[in-house]
Amino acid sequence: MNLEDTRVAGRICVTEIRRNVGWLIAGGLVIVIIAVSVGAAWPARYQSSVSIYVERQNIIDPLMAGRAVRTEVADTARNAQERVYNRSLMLAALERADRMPAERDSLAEEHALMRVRARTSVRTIGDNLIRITYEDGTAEDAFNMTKLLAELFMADLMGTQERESTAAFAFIDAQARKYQTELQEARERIQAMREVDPSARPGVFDELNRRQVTLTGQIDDLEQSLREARIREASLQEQLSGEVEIATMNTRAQRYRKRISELRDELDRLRLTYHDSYPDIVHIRQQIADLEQQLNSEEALSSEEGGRIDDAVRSDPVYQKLQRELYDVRTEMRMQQDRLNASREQLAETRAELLRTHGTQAEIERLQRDVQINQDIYEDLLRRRENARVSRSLDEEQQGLKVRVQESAYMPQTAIGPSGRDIALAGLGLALILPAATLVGWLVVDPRIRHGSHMPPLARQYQLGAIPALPRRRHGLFAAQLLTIGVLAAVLALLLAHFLGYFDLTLLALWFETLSLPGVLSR
Amino acid sequence: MSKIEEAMDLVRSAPVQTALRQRARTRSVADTTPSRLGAELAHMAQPREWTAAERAAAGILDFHAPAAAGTDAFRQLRVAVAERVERRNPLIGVTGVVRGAGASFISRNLAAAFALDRGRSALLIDCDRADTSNSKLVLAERKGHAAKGLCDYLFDESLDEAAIIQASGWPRLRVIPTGGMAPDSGEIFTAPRLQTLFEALQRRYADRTVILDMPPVGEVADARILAQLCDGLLLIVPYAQVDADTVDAAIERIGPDRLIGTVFNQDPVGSW
Repeated sequence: MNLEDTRVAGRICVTEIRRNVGWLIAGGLVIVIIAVSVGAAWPARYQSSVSIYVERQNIIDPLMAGRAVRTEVADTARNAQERVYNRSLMLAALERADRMPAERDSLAEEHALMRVRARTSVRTIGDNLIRITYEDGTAEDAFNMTKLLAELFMADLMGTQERESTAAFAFIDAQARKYQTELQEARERIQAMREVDPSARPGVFDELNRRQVTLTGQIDDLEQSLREARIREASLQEQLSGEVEIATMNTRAQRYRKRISELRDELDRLRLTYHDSYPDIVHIRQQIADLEQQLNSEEALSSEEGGRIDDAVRSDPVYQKLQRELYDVRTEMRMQQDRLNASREQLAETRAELLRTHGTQAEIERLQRDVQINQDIYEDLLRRRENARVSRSLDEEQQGLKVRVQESAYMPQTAIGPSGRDIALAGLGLALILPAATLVGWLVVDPRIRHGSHMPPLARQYQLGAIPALPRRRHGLFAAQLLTIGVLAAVLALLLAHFLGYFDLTLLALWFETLSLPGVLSR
Repeated sequence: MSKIEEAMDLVRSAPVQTALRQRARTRSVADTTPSRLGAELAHMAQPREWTAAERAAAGILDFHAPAAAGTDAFRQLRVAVAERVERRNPLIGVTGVVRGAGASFISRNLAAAFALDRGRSALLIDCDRADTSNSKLVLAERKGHAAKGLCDYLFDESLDEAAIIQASGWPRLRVIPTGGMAPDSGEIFTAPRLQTLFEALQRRYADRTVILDMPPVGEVADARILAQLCDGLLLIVPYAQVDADTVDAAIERIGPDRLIGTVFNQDPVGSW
């Protein structure tokens, strides 16, 4: 938009304002009247607030560190709003402020509640500070209600705190008692079992195990000794038979056999070189046959004697010594065999015993485990119970949660928010601006031609000139505008006079009544 | 320099008779002779001039006062119109896009501006039967006598044009008022007598500008009939009453070839 266009727009605006000055004034007056009326009827609002300090730390904490668990105050602060808006608290406050509706139906109660809730605001400042703000039509009401709300809120907070810790103690206490009973029962069950079943006695199982190990060891040792004794026996017997052989080495039969053997060796050697018909071979064969015959007769003779050991052998001292040792070994072997058998029997018994004990033992172990677990939990609960007891004591003595009024409720001296005067003044400003602004806005959207340059292209092309607007005879305000403005000004004057205290509008209303009554009666 | 200004110079520099005689020589109109021109001017002697109050009441601007509001605009408009009309004694129609555009005001002040020229005269014909404000320019009318006018002429064949041309209180400005209303004035302007009248009026005086105050072109059928009889039309676009489409529609009705030009009335920018 260039300068010329701006000039044109400005002139058009001024022209339109001049043309419509009457209506602008009338519109402005209407706005002022509305604003003054609203301002006069505007309710004053008084606000009071109270700050409550909810303390989290105190001297007890370091002393009781890790022992007593304190209820989280931060949570308390966080749900302060819920507490204050709580129905029962609000109702109690209404009751005590004597502001309950006369007829006590639930709808009226609900409305009263809603009103109080709408006027109350709860804000948490930091972790510890809770601010309750309340506003009302009069300073007294605002002050009283704020005070009441704060008192009820604090009482509620303390009560809850105590209730919480008492409930916690009661719960833990009950738990501890329950576990104590269970522990007792488990112990009694074990006791009863042991009385009934000797194998359930403590240590039996271990002893049996030990015995089994000992017996197994013994058996192993005995078996080893037995094997050694057998080897010794065999060795002695060999030695004995060796001694007999030596003693009987030079008997005839032996000699025959030796000769036969030599001859056979010779025969084998000759047969490598010669035929069987060779005279030496034939000769040797005859010798062997003779010798074998002699041997046979000799053996037949000796078998008649029946294995009888020669007296010569018997009388041999070495033979006798060996014979004694052999007896000893055999005696020892028999003894060991007896002991081995006895041990084996014992082992078998022990094993049978163990098997039998096994079932009982598992049952006992289960019971003992139960006892152990119960014991642990019970001890833990005992500790906790003591903690809870201390916490409860703290709360009972109001040591746990420190709630105090940081800033008490005050009697508000001035109303908050816009006052009636502010609204009336704002209306005055609006009366100056709004009608003209509306007009300018209307000019922007109105498509009608207000300048030669706004004409359509063809008309512009043919434009010969422009005749300036000339002052008209009936310039200024129309009669209708004048009348409207006059009436509005009168109303405004009456209103202002009323609100400034020079005149009472109710008098005017009374006057109108006296005027209209006779007319009504005569009709 | 326009013809009018040229003429005005002539008037100032020489006696009127001589000047008119010189100009008469250049004319092609056969029946205008120097002797007759002198007689005309004598015949057109002003009966009585308006006082300033009467002039103002008649709605004519104070052209004699220096820098009076709006007079300059009309002088310029007169020059612009004269430049665009070829014919010597032109018949110029003035019509508004809508009623209230100010066609009556502009037509009478334009006529007055034309009549300022001492060598020329102007005739204003009030053809707008709905707004007869220009009929009040007649001196007799203002005294309470019903002067004969256009409608009387169209219905009463015994009247001649001289009987309806009335004097005004403005020098060299003559007026034909609307006249008595016809009982049923539906299509009176279609009468052939109207065309005869216009031709006679154009012939009657040398250097006379005939201006028709017409009803708005967009609203009354009369305007379109009259437009056919005019040499050209001025279209008055009023302030804050019509949008662009309405103006285009009005030009379309007149026909761009008959349009002398558009005039924007009540211009807020020129007024101060």
